[in-house]
Amino acid sequence: MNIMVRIFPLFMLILFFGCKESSQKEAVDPEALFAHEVKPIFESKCIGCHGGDPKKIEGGLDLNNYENLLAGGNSGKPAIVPGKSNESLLYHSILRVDDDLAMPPKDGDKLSEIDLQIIRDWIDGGAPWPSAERIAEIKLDTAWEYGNRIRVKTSGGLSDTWDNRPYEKENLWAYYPVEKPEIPWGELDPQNDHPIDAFLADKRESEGLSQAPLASDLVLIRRATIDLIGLPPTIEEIETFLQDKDPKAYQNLIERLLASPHYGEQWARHWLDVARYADSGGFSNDYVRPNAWRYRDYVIRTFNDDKPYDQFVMEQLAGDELDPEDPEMLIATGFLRMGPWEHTAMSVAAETRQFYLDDVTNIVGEAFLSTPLNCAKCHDHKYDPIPARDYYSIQAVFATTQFAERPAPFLPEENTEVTEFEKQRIVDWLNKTAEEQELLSKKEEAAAKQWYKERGLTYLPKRERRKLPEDQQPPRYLGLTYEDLGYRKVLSKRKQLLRRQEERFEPLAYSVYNGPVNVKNSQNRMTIPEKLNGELPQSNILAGGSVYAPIEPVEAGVMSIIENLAPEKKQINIDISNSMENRRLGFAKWLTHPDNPIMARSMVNRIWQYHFGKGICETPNNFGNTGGKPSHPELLDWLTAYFIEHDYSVKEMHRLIMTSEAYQLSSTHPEWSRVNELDPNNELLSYFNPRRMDAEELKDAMLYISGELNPEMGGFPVRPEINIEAALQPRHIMGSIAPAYQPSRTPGERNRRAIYAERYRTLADPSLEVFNQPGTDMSCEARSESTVTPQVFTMFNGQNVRTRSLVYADRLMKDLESHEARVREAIYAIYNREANADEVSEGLNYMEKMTKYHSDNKPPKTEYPTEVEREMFEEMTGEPFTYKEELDIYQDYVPDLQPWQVDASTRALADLIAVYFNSNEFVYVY
Amino acid sequence: MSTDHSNWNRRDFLYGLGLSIGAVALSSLLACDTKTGQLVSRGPLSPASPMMRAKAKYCIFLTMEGGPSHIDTFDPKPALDKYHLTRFQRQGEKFSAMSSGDRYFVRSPFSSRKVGKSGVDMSAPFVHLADVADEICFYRGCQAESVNHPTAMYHINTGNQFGGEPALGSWISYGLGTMNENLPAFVVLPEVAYPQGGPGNWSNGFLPSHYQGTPLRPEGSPILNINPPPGVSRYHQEESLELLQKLNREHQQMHPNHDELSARIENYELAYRMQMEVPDVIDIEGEDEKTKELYGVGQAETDAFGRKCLLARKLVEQGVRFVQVYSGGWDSHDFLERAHGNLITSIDKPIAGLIKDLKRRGMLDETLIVWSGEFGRTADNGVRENGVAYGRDHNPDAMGMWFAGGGVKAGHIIGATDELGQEAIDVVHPLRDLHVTLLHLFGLDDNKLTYFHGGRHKQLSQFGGQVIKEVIA
Repeated sequence: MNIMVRIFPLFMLILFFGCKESSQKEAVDPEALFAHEVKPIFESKCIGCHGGDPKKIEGGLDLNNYENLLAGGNSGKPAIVPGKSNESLLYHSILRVDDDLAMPPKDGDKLSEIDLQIIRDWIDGGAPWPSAERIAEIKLDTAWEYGNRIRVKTSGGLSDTWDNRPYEKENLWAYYPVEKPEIPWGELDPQNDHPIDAFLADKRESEGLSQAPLASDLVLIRRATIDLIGLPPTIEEIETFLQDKDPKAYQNLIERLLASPHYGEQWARHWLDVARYADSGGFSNDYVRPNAWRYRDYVIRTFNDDKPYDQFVMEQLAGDELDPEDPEMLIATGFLRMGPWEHTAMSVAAETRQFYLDDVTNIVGEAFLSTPLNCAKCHDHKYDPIPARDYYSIQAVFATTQFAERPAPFLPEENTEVTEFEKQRIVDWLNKTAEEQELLSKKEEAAAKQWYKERGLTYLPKRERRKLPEDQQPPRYLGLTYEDLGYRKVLSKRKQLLRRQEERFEPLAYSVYNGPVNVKNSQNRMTIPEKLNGELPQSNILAGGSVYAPIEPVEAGVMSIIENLAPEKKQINIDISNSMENRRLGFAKWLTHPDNPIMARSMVNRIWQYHFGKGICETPNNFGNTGGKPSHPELLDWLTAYFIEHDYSVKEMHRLIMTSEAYQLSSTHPEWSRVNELDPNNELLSYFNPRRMDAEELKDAMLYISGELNPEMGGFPVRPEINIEAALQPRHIMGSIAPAYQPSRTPGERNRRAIYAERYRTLADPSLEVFNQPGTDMSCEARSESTVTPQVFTMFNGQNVRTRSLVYADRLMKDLESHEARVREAIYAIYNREANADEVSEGLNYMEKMTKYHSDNKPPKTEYPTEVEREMFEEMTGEPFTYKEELDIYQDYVPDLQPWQVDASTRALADLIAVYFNSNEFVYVY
Repeated sequence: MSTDHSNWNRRDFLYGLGLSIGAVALSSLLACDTKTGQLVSRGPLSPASPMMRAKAKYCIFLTMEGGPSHIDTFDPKPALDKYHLTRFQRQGEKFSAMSSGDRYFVRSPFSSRKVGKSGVDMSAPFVHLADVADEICFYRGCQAESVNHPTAMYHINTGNQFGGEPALGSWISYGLGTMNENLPAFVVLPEVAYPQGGPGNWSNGFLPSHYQGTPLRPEGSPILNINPPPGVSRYHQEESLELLQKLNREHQQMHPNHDELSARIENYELAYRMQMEVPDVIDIEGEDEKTKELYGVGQAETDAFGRKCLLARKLVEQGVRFVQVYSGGWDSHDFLERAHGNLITSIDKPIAGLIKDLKRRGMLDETLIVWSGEFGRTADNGVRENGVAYGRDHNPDAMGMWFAGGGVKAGHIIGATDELGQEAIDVVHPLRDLHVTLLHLFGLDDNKLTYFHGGRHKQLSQFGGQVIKEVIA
């Protein structure tokens, strides 16, 4: 830090004069200001209600009419008093000081600071009202600039007003080319200086803040381990690290963690949040997506193999076009179908197709471009230079993309282990279902035969008699009771669901192909038709986003602002196909081009966020005008350039970030009140932000500590135990109740890492949901972190924590000789530090009381239900009918250890461990 | 950021919070911005003043899942008698299985009569509701968009057909907080089976999870894990809690700057109290027999829905802001007479009881009751199993709904559908206008009740809408 260049005073000076200059009213010609700035503001924000339609002028105020402005609308007060902004009602309204007068009415449309300043300056400058001719003349001056406001070119908006709209340059930061900045400290001493710290110190010191001391090795190993692999360090790992005298001990720790296969599980989870991974489709039936799990494992492999990020992006967008023979490439495109989607007999195909196109367009925007594109779906973007034309051009990239479960042989690296039981139960259930269906159909046919007999007619089977007029065949449903009719629907739905389950074990990829539009009912496996007949889909700009209102055809394209902001040598210029094939490949080539500034920026910011709890830009899915502004734009650019130079290696970014001092700081700052006052959100990273473990981290950590975690990687989704009431909660699907959720049969099968749990869109694991596991409908850019009451019920009363504690207690009872040793071990394993004497004696004291309690109180034996009774409202009668659903797994269930199976002191130790699991020291990472 | 927390400006605070923080708090004591570590002085569920004067403070939303037929309830269509079973083919751009093939008109199996002083229409199976007809404002002009259950349900519940967005109850809780911080602000009383689309129907969407609907399940533990596990006594819990809090306090001394630690400490105390209190709050057995009788509790055909209506009143009385009560099974594509007949009977007395009970307690003025399905039904039907089915398909173009209490124009029929009930033709408004109107009745302006998410200031109506002035008193 000795070579720190103090540019602070100079910087302040520029800032000072910069401000001064723009507020010098006399420097701006108010007439020109009106023509270039004020009028466009009126047009985009006000004219809609005040002058657009002469028949509908709100409040009697017409912003096309100067006299009216001077006289005022219905209020009778002048809207504008030339020279006096503070007496002008219009200015008062746009300042929004008075709720009733605030204009525009929607808070979301409020004028920016600079807009307010412009209107104020125009009024204070005499509020001139040049004629249309004069305005045209003024506008010939194309060199006009006001402050930081610029005009940009795009593919073209739906109106001139939009095209001429100014932007504040700093709001477009994300779309400008990446310029690798100089490191503030100049030549770095590779032994002592770190480029990240140079950038951070530069800004932090300019604010006069110091940085916290470095964290202890104990804190650091827990932080780094949970961060990289999502599991806490073991006692042995801690001991080894503490005793390691190698100056590179910390670097070696990072290397060990990056080499762990658990690393991929942890970091894939972050990406699956963005992609909205789930094993089902949501809506009415929540049909299972039997092969989606291969995408989940593909993402895990991607991170473990440190696949270059550009390649990862390319594969997810266009794997099938890159190499349709490579199963991995087909699996990767599962990304394009991750959103919720369903098409049933009740749906309108054009609408469900358009829903898909909107969904995929927006997720591509959020995930790769850090720009929520759906803001430009109904109209040109309100804030960003993204015309509806861009939205629909990007949508056109996916116009030929259709769904298919494509044959893709299992790869050697894929885990396809499955117990015979899991496979057989589907077959058994299908057979049983078929038998029951057969019984009902026999019953119906027996009645039909009787009907024919009574009339002396020849019996006709159902298929044949169906073609006859109604009065020449037995009445509908003859021979069946209402219960039969209801149950028949239950059976046919069950068959649909089970058939999809069966596909799970087949080598299919949840993938896409190119062809004409092909919308099929979600209950079916999607296949590529033998002949791809049909028209080449034509994409259009849709008025108001309605599929029924096409207004103009568009071709496949990209985000035009990026091309237009790039200097000539950085133009990407990739032709995107408009034929049936290779549209996505072209788009992916544009997106992954090293001169495209946004893809790498987006990912670097995400990586930073997962390390520090907050991105350099706080809204990783939204770099637009409405998103956060980067706290350290130069650092972000430098890191982005580094990422590109290092072949988009994510692991290289971890190495870089984690070896900075910033990452190794203590979470406590000696000058807290000062830090808290000057930088309450810790934007300057003066200390390390502590965080709560994520839902999955908490769950995995407890399984890991108890020794139950089966570290097996990948494979078919598993079903962990969830709250049994939630598991058996009936869920209405079309014509039936969804089958009950039953956990996998044996502990080894179900006690896997949370990432392998089957995710249903309409049934979250409540213990994860309550700790902010995100829903699967929208992309999650950052986990929420809340402290709310149901968490206590989950942790304090819930089954999961209690079982983990019990198993761990049982192990400690067997492995160690004394209670004291057990308490010490538990504290070390859970808090990742040695116990102190007080804690041990408190723990022993508590155990003693609890042992006594448990000696007097025997826990009941756990009973598992082997069937559930389902009650449905039969739509035909409007009366409830019931049926029984067998819970096959519980009939031969291997439970985890139960309280009644162990003695009182083991239960007491388990209680103590449960208290530790509930405590803040376990739940937070410092 | 405003420091005056008593007024509406608290949205500014939530704005910042919303970018990263969510929660499922039952209590606002614990609003803790964990990313900045600041405990805020007032929580997101604290009561807030409405933006404008309004009568409604509480809402009981009676959701008839499946799409009740307006024609066979409150919007009789005698003209159908003459077209009964007349065949035709339907055309239109919204092609689906429901619109194709041979169609025929179906007359209502029920007679209808004018009831109350105001002479509003009710079909014969409504017996008790006629007693309170003059409290009700019937609205016939609303139009849904989707013909499919889950999308239509998401639409009426959240303003968006595709789910993932906050429910009406979440928006109102966000706008007004709750009057009882020891209970959720937004409670759902579902059927035994959750509706199609599942918990997405009461999701907080992108709003902080304080505003998530909490289902009180009719069977089992009302809130998951609210009861201690088997073999754990109060003594046991207290000992464990005491040790836990001691450890937490010692830990806090090591991290004095990390404010959310104290939020988590308080949270355990609050949960413990709630565990004791919630079962009493939601127990309706303590109500007197006459009241139970009023709701049809104890009578086979009305017991289930009656219990929910009574519980809804109790919850509102306790300060819960928004209670949604589900009645399922209204999807009568067939056997309309029996299905709708039974369903109407199951809700008739409970709803009439609810209105009477609220009225006599002086709570009706400030409690808005809404009755609606996700769409209406067609005047015609398609062939099923090669036979005539006396039922109706889904109809987004016409539907029936009504309001009571909470500042609506009681004893009126607003709007109209065409001669056959196929399409709304008078005072026609899309669902988003209904949403704007409901917010308005609570003194909330849809254009101002916004939340920044995904690059936009989002609002219940999605893009703004109009108040249906005709339904407001």
